[in-house]
Amino acid sequence: MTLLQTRVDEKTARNFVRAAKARGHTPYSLLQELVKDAAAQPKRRTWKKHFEWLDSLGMKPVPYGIVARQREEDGER
Amino acid sequence: MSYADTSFIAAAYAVDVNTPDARRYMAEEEPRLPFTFLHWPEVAKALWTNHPALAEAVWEELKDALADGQTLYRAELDADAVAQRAAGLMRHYAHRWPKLRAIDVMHVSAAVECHAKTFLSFDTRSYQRVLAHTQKLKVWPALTSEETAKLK
Repeated sequence: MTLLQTRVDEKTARNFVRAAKARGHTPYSLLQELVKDAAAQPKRRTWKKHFEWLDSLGMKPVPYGIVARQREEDGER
Repeated sequence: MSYADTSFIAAAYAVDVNTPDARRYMAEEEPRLPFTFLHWPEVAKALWTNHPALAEAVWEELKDALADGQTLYRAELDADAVAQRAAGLMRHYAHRWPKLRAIDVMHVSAAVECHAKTFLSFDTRSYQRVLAHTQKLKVWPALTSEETAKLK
């Protein structure tokens, strides 16, 4: 599978070649390493994403505060 | 750092009347919340009694969130220290508020043991949020007028 044949502008390419050399890499091996690192990064979990996921479930809202009610029903007053 | 009572965490995982407020707070603050030994059974009951068909999926999501530790994390709390602090609070306040419940005192104690500054709770019909206020925790949402009256 070919993934890394990406066209970039001249200045970016030159800077990238310089950065690769400084790190003891060829441009291709540095690019491979960056892609590998990015793929290994866990996705950032946020509350925003969580609520989008919750929306996707189509959960029917209950018309009361669940925990407050369950504590009252548990009997300790 | 914030500590969320189960009423708050359940509102983020099982849709109830408080979910819109929980969502608003989470969107604005993106808090990383401690999840303690007190939360497990209450969240489980909230899910399986109110949303049984979806409970398993939500439970897996909750466990994944805890494994990531980015939105919820497993607080390293000494259960005995939490209970002893709770006992001290109960000794001090039970006479003043006879309806003060053990679970409420335990959550406030856990919040203090976690060094929380803010206490998130929707349980306005108990003495929990009032007790949190006495422990110098900032309570969110703000105390209701009925709760403030309990402080007098």
